[in-house]
Amino acid sequence: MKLKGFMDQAYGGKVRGKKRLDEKRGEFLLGFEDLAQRLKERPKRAEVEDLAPREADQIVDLIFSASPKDKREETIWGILTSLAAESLSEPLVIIPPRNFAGLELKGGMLILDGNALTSGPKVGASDGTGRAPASWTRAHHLGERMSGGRLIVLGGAGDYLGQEMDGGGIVCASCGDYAFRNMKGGWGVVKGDAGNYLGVGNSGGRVAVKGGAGARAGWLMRSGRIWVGKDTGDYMGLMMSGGEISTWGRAGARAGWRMKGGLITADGYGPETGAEKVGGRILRRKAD
Amino acid sequence: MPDPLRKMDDLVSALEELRLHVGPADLQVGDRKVNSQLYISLANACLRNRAALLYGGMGANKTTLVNLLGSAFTGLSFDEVENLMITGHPEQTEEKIVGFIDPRQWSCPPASSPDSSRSSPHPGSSIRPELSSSSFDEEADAIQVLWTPWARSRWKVINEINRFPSGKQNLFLELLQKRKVSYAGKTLDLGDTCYFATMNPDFSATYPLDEALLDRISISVPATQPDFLASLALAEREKEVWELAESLPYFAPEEFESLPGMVAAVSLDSQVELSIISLLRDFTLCERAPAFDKTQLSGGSKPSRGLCAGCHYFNNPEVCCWQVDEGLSDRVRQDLRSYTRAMALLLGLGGSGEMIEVLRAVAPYVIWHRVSPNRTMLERPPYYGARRLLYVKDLVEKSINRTLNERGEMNMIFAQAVDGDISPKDAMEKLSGYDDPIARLDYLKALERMV
Repeated sequence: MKLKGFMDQAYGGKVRGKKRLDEKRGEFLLGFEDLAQRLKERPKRAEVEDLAPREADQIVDLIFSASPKDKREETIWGILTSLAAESLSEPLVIIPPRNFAGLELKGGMLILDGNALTSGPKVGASDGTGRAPASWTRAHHLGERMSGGRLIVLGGAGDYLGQEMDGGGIVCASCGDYAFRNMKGGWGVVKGDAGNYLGVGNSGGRVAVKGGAGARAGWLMRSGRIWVGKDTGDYMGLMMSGGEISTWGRAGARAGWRMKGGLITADGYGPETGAEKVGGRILRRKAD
Repeated sequence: MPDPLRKMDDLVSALEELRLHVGPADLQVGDRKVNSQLYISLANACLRNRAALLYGGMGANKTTLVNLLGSAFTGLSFDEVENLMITGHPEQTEEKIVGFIDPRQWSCPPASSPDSSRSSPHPGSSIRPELSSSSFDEEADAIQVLWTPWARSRWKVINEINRFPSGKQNLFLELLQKRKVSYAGKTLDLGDTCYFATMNPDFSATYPLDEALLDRISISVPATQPDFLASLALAEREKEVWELAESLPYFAPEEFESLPGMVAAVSLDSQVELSIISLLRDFTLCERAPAFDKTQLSGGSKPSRGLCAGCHYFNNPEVCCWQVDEGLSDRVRQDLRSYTRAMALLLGLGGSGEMIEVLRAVAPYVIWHRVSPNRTMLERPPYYGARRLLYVKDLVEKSINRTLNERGEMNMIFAQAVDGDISPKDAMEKLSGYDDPIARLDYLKALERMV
């Protein structure tokens, strides 16, 4: 019999296409670098989950032994922090926080201590408003795309805090720009000040800032609520179409510029408030 | 008309009913679950000149089971079979195992001998330097050796083989290799024999088994202690084993002799043959070994000693090569074929898709004692450094699944090239896209030679 006949018999005429050698979860890992090497250019959470160890302790070991070199490795590291936090029965404390910690977190509690050095840029001197002191550095993209659980940042968070989050809650001392951008659900509490572009494009969720917020808070907001304890910068509620922004200080210039819907409340407003407004309401809080 | 298979079923039932062997059904073959210790021993009894090793702690019914089977298959009483068995200990000698020179030949010279000095040499001067080689042969011919019952038996049991010192283990190596035994210049042809050995884990007073001897042991099965239900069943046994053994069905000599022929009549389909060959290549191929053959590696260069560091396949759990130190010899192929056939015969399997299930079940037992798994992998859950059989079972499963699924396309390309349907160059170009050790190290090299 010819070899092809032998193969035909062996496969019964059903030959499947080729497939790369698969990698399975919990198999042998030499370390974080080994894990990173096995993943593609843009690793997804499911792919990391497939390869990560099953035991939470082993994931924690990976997290603390890792030194992510680039954004790709930082996202892998971030997913690992979420996997570990979800598996542990007690809060996972990470010192120092790195970028993307709590990425796609679905449950559990993650505490990031910003007192130590991180990979983020250093911030300026403390201004006494809750911002981090000079020695602190900030990690970016914390709690991004999270859908459950709690993220507590003991120091200041960097930019993109809670970006695209869909559930769960974040508490931090202060945050940089683009915090809670494109938020769909969940809640965030900033005990100090927030940077510019707070809650850009939000379509849900609640954000409370005890201090002030920078420019363009609630820009393109469609739904959800933003509460600011002190003053906000210019262009608050710029082009918003829904939701509610409430500030217990003064809003800067051009609040509600070109707004189409929603509600803005403040103690006072800068010049050109409600310019080119199409819809929505702008209210002034009565003085006690 | 004798029906050995029906008698085999009766034997299995009798062993269970008489509470002589009540092990758990731990071997799954397709939809059936049977006891591995019993069925692998039965499969070995259906074959000839293959050795089965029963591995386990004391009191796990290893020796008793083998002797009970010996009694049933040879028709001897349980006591007689027990007396045939040899047991390992450091003081065991070759004379006690295979035979010794008959001292009676010197006190009673044969009447036909014309030369009295030659027929009754002085003890201690049997080898005289002045004798030529031809006269030495004649001298040796004249020596009478009394072979032990064990050496003459066709059912050979080596109890506690690991208690034989390494030098004495060589005797069994020679015996399994040549199928004959020599002593004092005389040779005894062992004929078609069933070999069984038992072995304890590494206790004190045990010796490691030589790798060459392990390779000649065809199959190895762990013998476990009775579980809760088995212990309950054993509590019902009130008579002694030898008394109960008399109630076992006995095989007639012609029935016992017919078993190897029945096994040989079982045919293996192409799927099984292909899976066996691929399984061997998965374990044996190594990109860094001479001729890509892991059996060529010496002690210092093994996967466990850093040979694979930086290799393309290292750490890929789907690939077997780096996960075990040893390659598999061609004996493994023969053993896989024989035991798959024997097990299929015992279980009455042979339909489409059933033989591959038999191979999946049997192959780990044929391989696991011959290889040393990667320690790092073995120490991880669910193996915990101790479950070597399970580890090898997982490797076997991966290899067979890969052969039957992912490797289909590349195997067809190679087959077309070998048959001349496509040019070797085209086939090489297509096969170079396959990330598989067999495609890269076997198929491409073969096609290069064809070009």
